[in-house]
Amino acid sequence: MSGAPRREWFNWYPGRGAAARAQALAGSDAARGRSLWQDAWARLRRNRAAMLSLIVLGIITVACIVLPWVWPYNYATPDWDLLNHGPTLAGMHWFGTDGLGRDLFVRVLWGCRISLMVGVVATLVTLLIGVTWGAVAGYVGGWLDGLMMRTVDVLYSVPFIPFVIILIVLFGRNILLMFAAIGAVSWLDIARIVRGQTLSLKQREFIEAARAGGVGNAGIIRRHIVPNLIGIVIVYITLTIPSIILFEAFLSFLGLGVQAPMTSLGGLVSNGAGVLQSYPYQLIIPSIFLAVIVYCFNFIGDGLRDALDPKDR
Amino acid sequence: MSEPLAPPLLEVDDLSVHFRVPGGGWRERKRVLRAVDGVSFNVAERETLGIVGESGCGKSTLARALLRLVPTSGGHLHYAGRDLLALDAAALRPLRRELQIIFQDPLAALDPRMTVGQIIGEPLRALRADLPRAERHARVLAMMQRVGLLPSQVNRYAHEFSGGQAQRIGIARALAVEPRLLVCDEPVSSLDVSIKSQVINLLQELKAERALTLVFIAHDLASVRHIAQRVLVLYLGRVVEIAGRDAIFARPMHPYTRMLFAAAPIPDPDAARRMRAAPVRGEIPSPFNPPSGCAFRTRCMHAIERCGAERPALRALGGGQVACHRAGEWLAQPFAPAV
Amino acid sequence: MALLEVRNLSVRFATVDGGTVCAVNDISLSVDRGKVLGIVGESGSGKSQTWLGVMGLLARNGRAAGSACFDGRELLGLSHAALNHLRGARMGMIFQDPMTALNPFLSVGRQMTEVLQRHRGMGRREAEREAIAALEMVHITDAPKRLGMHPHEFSGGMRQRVMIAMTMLTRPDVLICDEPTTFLDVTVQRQILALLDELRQRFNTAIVFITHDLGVIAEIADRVIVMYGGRVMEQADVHTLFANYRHPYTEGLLRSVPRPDVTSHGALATIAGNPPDLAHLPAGCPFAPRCVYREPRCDTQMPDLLDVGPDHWRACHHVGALGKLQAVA
Repeated sequence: MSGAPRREWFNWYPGRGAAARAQALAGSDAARGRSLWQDAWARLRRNRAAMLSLIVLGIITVACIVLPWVWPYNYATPDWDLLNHGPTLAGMHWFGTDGLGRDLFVRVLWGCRISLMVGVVATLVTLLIGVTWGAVAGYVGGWLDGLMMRTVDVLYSVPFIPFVIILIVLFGRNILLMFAAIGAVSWLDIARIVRGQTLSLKQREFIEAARAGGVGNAGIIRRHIVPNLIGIVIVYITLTIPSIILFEAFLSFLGLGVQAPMTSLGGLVSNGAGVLQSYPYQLIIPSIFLAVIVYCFNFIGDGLRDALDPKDR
Repeated sequence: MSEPLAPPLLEVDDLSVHFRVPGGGWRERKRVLRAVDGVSFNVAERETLGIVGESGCGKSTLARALLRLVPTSGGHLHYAGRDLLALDAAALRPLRRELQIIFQDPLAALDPRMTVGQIIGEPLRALRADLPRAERHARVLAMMQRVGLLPSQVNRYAHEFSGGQAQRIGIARALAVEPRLLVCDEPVSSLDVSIKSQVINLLQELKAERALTLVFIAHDLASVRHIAQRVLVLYLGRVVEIAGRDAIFARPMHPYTRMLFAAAPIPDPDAARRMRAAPVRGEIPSPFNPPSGCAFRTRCMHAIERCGAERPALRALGGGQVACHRAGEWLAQPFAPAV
Repeated sequence: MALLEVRNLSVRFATVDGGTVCAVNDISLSVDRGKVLGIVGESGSGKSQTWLGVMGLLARNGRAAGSACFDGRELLGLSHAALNHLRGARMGMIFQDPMTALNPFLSVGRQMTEVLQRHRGMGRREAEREAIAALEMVHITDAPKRLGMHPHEFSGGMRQRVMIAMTMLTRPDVLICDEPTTFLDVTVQRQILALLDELRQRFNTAIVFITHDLGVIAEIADRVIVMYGGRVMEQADVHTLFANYRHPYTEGLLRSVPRPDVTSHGALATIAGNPPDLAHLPAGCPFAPRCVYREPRCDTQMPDLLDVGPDHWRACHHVGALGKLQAVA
């Protein structure tokens, strides 16, 4: 690629300006390299399941944000003349109505909206706590690492579901509380993963090289540790969101989810389960949406893991 | 070898690096690994000191200790008259400009998420914040050109380069801040045969151009013989012999040095088959509990009782320094005895 | 007749993005009983893939074509089971990192007796005695005690000895050593080389020794094949090759490495450029882009491997003398 090394030594301070010299050296069309991200994206694009999931998820997300505004019905208003009406194209009740005559289509959209929001926001809480905790423990090491990771071990032993149920029973049903409760317990995994990664990154030679180059601790974390953690964290996000969505559905199914008349996919499934014998569509439709969303996230997560895994190369 | 008149650039005196490593079982005490154990030597300005030894002899740890990349456990380290071990992180920073290192595994030493320009520019950014951005960029490009990379590759990522090119990037990064002392930790041992000589030549050219002082660490005797003016031999964290290149290769005084030299494969079938006769005894003992007295005595055919009882000090002998109780006996003989 | 005859062997790999990597191109060679064949080359020379192809051990996306005849039997296209049996019983392979070939969860003794029970139909007692004898054969002291140890409890050199002992259990006719000393220190390397030589003399085993280190080749090989870009560049007996090489690449390798027994001054001679990219090999000689004797036809036409002396072959268009490669002072 490179020819024989040039013999002349470059003059640091000739008359011309630095920018002009740089321009002359690199040429105006210095080739852009392919970063690991671009490589990963190229690999992800070849993964059909992940790309299809990405599209489906995109459609569901846009639909559940936009459609409720323009739909002729809203999620709360009952229509006492149309109770438990089956799916029909007439009158725009595509998915039919529920026991109170509310339009199921718009309720499913709202359910997706709430479930996705819970999943995303709780995951962000998880990330914020987990990444900071893990990175600090791993980078600082020593007794602080011991203390922080033992804390994680202790929290692991707290029975998670009863803990969340007690919180909700004590403080009432509140969507913010739900974010906090779910996020507060699911950060433990990511803290462990991030700590492990940080420990191994810390021993890599490029970190030593940076220290020899005079970069301080803050700079090393910001410029070297964090960018190299992003890959694994992204994979983890796409796998955490569906598990949190499922957990929220589980809480809603128990009747501990969002406050009626607002609903989530779990709440809809719960309602539908009650009338399974007579009106199966009220269970089947929200269940399909729940399953599709969870599948999509899992496929994307798997695809990302394969795309970002350097062993593949 | 004439004695350098100027005071040494780097003075290492009784330097030790001990690691505390968890024991085998959960109840066992922490064991102490004496990776570097009382090492003393000097490096004169513009000199190339070669350090050789087998894996586990502490040469990489020593390299990192010289730059204060690992915590030291004892001894003194002076650079240009300043006590490096007494400086805190802030005071050390300006000195980092003068002391740089290149690593054994060139790809592992480059952050996979950064472009070549960012990698080479990083020490400049951290240590030469006084330079305007454009000037730093120009220096990065000039440095790339100097080490034989195309400046147009400045936006490429490390994984797009071969091992030899990656090592050139490492050299450019180290030299961008214009250091005086460059520690090379096995810079060519993971490179292909045809690339090795390119990198060795590059290092020699740069040394001459920029009046560098080199500490060149290797397990490969041939490259040390080519590049170094003086050679230091390490065994289990201790110096066993230091001497001028010509002296030590003509007449290695320490039995370990002789064994090491005799084991180096020679690319010449006739010579190689002659060397075959020289046997190598045993393997390097565990650094967790090195033998008492002279660490080499368990593999040395000349070992006497005194070798187990008393650790031989490094003493001047025949132009160099040797840590062996019996080296004096061989000085009188016309040829050093076989290993 | 030679023990192993390879004729026109090629190894191709299909890459993920639809390309083809030509790791080995049209190679012919033979291995004789009781001799050491040295294969020297850099990364990307195809030196390892040749033998993985012969042994049927290529990665899943790899295909070998041509012929490899072992003791009168064609290996390419042989069934999985038949190949497995041959590999266990008559062809041994030793790798750079013995940890990849040893099971970390089983004691060394268990792994050795299993081989003996399977391939030589021994009882447990007898197998254990034989395993101890094998460890003693590779000069591991205290062998009965070592049988109970796990691979990670051995040092690097010891592990390689265990690996050799295990491979020799079935008394293979040919032992293929893929850079077995690259991770080892020179002193340990010397011991392993001496051990291999001893075993070769004792059992008349043919050894194929793959390495990038010319010093090791000089020490152990009887015949040498120099590979580059998946092709044979030069082939000769070891003394001829080192004293009277006729290929520019061989010249480059020999002239560019510093020697431990001679002090060299000034700059070293170098081979310019970088090792070849196997996915984009030139149409002609793969070494042409780095060759100081390059002629126009080198770029378009691969030279044939022709004899230039008794049992001395090379693939090069250049007719004049070599000696042009000099240090850039």
